[in-house]
Amino acid sequence: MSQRLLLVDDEDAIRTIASISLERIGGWTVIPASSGQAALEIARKDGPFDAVLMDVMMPGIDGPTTLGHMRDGILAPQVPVIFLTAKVGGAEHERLLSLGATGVIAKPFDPMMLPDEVRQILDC
Amino acid sequence: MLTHPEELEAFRSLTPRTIDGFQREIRFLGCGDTALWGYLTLSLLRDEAGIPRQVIGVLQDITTRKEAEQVKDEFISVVGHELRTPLTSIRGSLGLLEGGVFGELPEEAANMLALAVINTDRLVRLINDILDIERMDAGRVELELAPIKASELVNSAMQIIQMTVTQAELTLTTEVDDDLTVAVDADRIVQVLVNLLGNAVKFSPHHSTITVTATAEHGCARFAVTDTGRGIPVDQLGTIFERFRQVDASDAREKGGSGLGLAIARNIVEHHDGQMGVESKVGQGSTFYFMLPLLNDRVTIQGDQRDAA
Repeated sequence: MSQRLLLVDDEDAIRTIASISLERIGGWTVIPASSGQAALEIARKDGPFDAVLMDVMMPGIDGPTTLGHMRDGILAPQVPVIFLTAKVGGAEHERLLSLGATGVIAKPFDPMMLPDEVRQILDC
Repeated sequence: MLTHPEELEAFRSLTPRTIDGFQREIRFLGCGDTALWGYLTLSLLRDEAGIPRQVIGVLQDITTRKEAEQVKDEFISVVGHELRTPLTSIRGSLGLLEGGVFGELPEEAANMLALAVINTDRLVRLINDILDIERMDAGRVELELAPIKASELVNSAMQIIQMTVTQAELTLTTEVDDDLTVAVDADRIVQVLVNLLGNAVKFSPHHSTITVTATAEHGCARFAVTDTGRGIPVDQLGTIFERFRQVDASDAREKGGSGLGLAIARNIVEHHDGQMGVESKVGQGSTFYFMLPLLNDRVTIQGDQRDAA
């Protein structure tokens, strides 16, 4: 059975593109969520997941806040969480890692490379 | 009207030597603590014996200009991010199509798709460059300064550009003084070197050589990138670092540049208290160079200040 990945992004188009990339190239089963709120619901009811890939800037509760809630018992502590962010720079990268993220992938991402990037972070 | 508390330090440190010719933007507090901006110029008057007697200050109210600049910066920043979001989706969709995820495309369709990809990438670069230069102009770029050897900076830039150089069938040679150390934001200086190297590749004739040097000169580290390309006409040497300046208007189309690369490069160098320049001869090639303070100098300057205090 393929591994399950929870994909959180408020942009419909990004969810579509990342889902196709991760499912067809990476062989994941992708469960999409359109907000931090929705992600928490799904994480509660539809788990377990093998990984979470989540946008940082979202309306409502943002990525880091969602991660905080997830780590409060909703998501098993060993599940890796990777952030997608349009903000570039070492400082932002460090900040996200210090919040408990497993890795960071920059937006815009290349959908042909995305599964590899996710895999590399998970294999570390 | 009061001087903003954070600006007081600038006045405390003034000495007769630094008062004369002092000019800078300064914040003030108006009624109800509203922020006001002034441009202050100071001159020192001495008597016949050379003893300082009077200071003349000219203060110009630039509050309206500063407010307009801020509105412009915010506007560009918002527009930039709003443009980048849909572009990310466009580029992603094209990438999946081009990558053959939905099957092989007919040749003509693949060609059209390649055009769309190249031009989307160009648009992404342009928007990134505009945002980058605006951030720097607005003073929102924080440099992470750390000591690093010039040779390391050159090597990093070479690694990034090597593929492009090989594809263009060019040769890259370096002459780097291994003793040079500078205190810089490495990512940013590598960005400058890659930009200069990228330009050199674009304008180099086939099978020619691009030379990168890093040498000590006038107490600075001098980095230079030399090509044997078509060169820059004398009348354009003065404006080549301005935004959207290209020697030939068709360059933007053919070479795929944003027209902002050199403006950004110079901006980064100047944020490091450095200087950038160019020497060029039409038909023979160009040398783009920049000077950065050597680390040893910075240490000495700090030492002097301590001694004076």
